[in-house]
Amino acid sequence: MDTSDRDLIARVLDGERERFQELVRRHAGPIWSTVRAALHNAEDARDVFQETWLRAFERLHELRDPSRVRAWLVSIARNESRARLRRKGAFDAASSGTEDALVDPDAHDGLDHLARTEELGGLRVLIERLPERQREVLDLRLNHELSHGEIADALGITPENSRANYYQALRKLRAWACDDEVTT
Amino acid sequence: MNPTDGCQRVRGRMDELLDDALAPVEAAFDRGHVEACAECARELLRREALLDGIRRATAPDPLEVARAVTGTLARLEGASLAPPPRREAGERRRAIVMAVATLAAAAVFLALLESAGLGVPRWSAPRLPAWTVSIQAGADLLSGVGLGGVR
Repeated sequence: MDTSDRDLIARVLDGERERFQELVRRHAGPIWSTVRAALHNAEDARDVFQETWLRAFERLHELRDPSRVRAWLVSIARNESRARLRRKGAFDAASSGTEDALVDPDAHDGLDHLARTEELGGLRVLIERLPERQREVLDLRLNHELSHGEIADALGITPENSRANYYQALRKLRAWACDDEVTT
Repeated sequence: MNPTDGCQRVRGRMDELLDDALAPVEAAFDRGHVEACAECARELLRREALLDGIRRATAPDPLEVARAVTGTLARLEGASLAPPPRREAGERRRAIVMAVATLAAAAVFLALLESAGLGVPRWSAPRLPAWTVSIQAGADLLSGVGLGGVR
């Protein structure tokens, strides 16, 4: 996969612009997850998703290691999402909480409320209680199979920090799940 | 080491085991323990189920992703984007800038030397050897007796 990403990027830089579409299809999942998690609003997320890819196209020649394109794209998606939040004046409200602050479930759209009644709804609610950084690491590791090194690149942290966030998130979820079982 | 210590040790790093973060020797030890210990095997299954649940609970909706991709491809298609600058072009640009900067630095250095009275000797035309002067004198002589244009 690394080789074909490298090849694809080289072709785009050689002028085969249409090859960029393959890159979009291949890495759409983690980019969508990143913007969707940051923005909570599907319309904003779609807009920022597009802006992320436009920015990536413009800056493709700056990518030093094509084998890490996924992490690079995620970092662009994060920056674009933050820029959108800042423009909307919601950045401070969304990021001023401490690492361990609980996420306000009311800040999300109706889908989260519906999730409570689904089979996995309970787990979704628990995941929402995790700090943003831990949710990001869980998603990138489990849904998009990024290594801790790639996650570190994407989030601007160290691989050790990525591992620590990941294991801490799992410990919290297990503990909360046990509490829920006890109290229900 | 009694079995309880073994269980604690294995469970203490079970997340790392499932994350493929253990050294091969440690992973082999833990897998061996889990095969022999029903309680730890159950705990391993519970943790695997949690990871699977997190994946299913947080996986992006494929329809939403597809919609976002379609919109992006349409926007890329419609946008009048210049092709991304090639890396080679950037390198050429850097080389030109370096060459200009080097020349400018050399000119400043020479100007400083000049102002300090340490200027390098200027180039001056070499003196012509005597025999070339003789040829010129001969040509003038011939021209004087009406045989000009021989030169």
